[in-house]
Amino acid sequence: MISRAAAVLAALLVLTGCVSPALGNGSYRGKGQASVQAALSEVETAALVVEQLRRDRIPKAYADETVSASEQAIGSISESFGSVQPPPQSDQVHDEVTALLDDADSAISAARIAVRRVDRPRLGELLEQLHQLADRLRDAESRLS
Amino acid sequence: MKRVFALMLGVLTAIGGFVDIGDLVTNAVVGSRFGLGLAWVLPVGVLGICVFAEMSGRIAAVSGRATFDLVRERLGPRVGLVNLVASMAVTFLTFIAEIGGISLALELATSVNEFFWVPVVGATVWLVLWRASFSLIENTFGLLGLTLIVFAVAVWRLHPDWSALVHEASHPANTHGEGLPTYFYYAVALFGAAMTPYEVFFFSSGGVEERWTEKDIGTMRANVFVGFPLGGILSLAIAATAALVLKPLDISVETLGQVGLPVGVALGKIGLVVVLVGFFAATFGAACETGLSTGYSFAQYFGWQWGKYVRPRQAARFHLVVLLATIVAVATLLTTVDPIKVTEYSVVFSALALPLTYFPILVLANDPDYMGEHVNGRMANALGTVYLVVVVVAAAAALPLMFITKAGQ
Repeated sequence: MISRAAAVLAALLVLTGCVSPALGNGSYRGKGQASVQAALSEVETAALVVEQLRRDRIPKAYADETVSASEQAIGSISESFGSVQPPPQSDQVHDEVTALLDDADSAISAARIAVRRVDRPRLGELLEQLHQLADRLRDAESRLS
Repeated sequence: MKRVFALMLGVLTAIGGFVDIGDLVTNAVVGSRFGLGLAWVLPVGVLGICVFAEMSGRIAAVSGRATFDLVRERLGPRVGLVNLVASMAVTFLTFIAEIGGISLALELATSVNEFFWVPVVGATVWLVLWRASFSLIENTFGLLGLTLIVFAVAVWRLHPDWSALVHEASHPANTHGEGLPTYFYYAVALFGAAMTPYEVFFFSSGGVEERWTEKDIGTMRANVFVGFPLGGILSLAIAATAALVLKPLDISVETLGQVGLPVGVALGKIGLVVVLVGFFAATFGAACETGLSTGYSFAQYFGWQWGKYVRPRQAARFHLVVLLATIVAVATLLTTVDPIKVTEYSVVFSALALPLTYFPILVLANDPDYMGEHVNGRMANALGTVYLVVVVVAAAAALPLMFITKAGQ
């Protein structure tokens, strides 16, 4: 009996693959909001590090490691959200959140490159970009809540 | 004069040694998400650890024997085994988290990947546990851990609205848009971090190592009742810096680097260098304590020779357990498990194991056969009983809250 249940469970897992379904539009919206909220945390972390490095108030190694960790985290957030199958009528949420996560990924990657080079003019430009991105993420989060 | 110096040294090392990776991460996470809305948990947890550390220290000073040794003798091998397994599981998880924490601190300082550091750190911790004397380990890392006072300096330099800060800390409320289950999940985690079982076992085993007698009870009490609360203030300062700098930016702490960032904002590069020294000292000191506690627990339960005051050859099985624990901890970390996640789970599981850890201590401290005239008084029993109820409630709530909140998400 137990082995049959285990076999059914295993078959279900294989059939559903790695893509976890969202239960409905509300649930998918909730996952989108959580992803945006997590992305906002990483973008603001990168912005804080960039700002401190520009002002020469943080050791380069510390700045590099902190921004690299944010880059890694945003990759996981993106991957996790991308693995959820959007239900019908949620394409707009999917497109909006995916675009924001992609932008966050690109901005934090650019920040990591500039931090490693201690490229101060570029850090200034990126700080502005990161702040704008953070504002967009906050808007999206309040819309999705 | 010598006695005053010993008293001061004990208090200072108790302050510096109070904070470990669990306190660092949990306080910063809570500060960044709830501000000081959960600050009330800290005094509750600190008083709890004081109550049981005093009891276990008194037991060690009066009987000259360590906790597990007496638990098995007084409550039988079965209860002793349950006590051993529960405490050991949490202590070992904390040991893994501490080694991971040292590696992360070194990564932040050098930009060399943590996975390079993990085996180096494991080997160094084991070497220190094998070769260095007990007092050297305790005093060096305890005193270096005092550098974490930089978090308190950072709070002052951030020029906060003190009245708003005190008001938030003194009016427990979940006013930060988080769900009530999440609020209580972090309350349990913070409580578990403050009352980690290994601190009590290490404290009492250290008492036996240092051959405390009834004359040392006064010094022991000063260490507990002055050192631990001041150590708790360091924890509060970590939460406060996160609340002041990270929370307004919607940053939720996920890495050790984020824990130190507010100090960088307040004090610049020098502040962050001091933070890194503090991270290293706090995690290395706690890795030594948890590593030794692993060996102490096994050896005391099975009645083997143990401790740092005998030659390694005389306590071969004790040192073998420490070595094996270090190897398994390093191997676990090399599977690329996130040390911060291990830390977050270790403090919650710590809450789960608290009743099994602290109930036997309360029983022993009440036994006149062991304690003689130093048996628990009314105050100690009242506090011990109240805290036993609190730890049972926290333990019962820990797992359901973990599932409901998906581990605090």
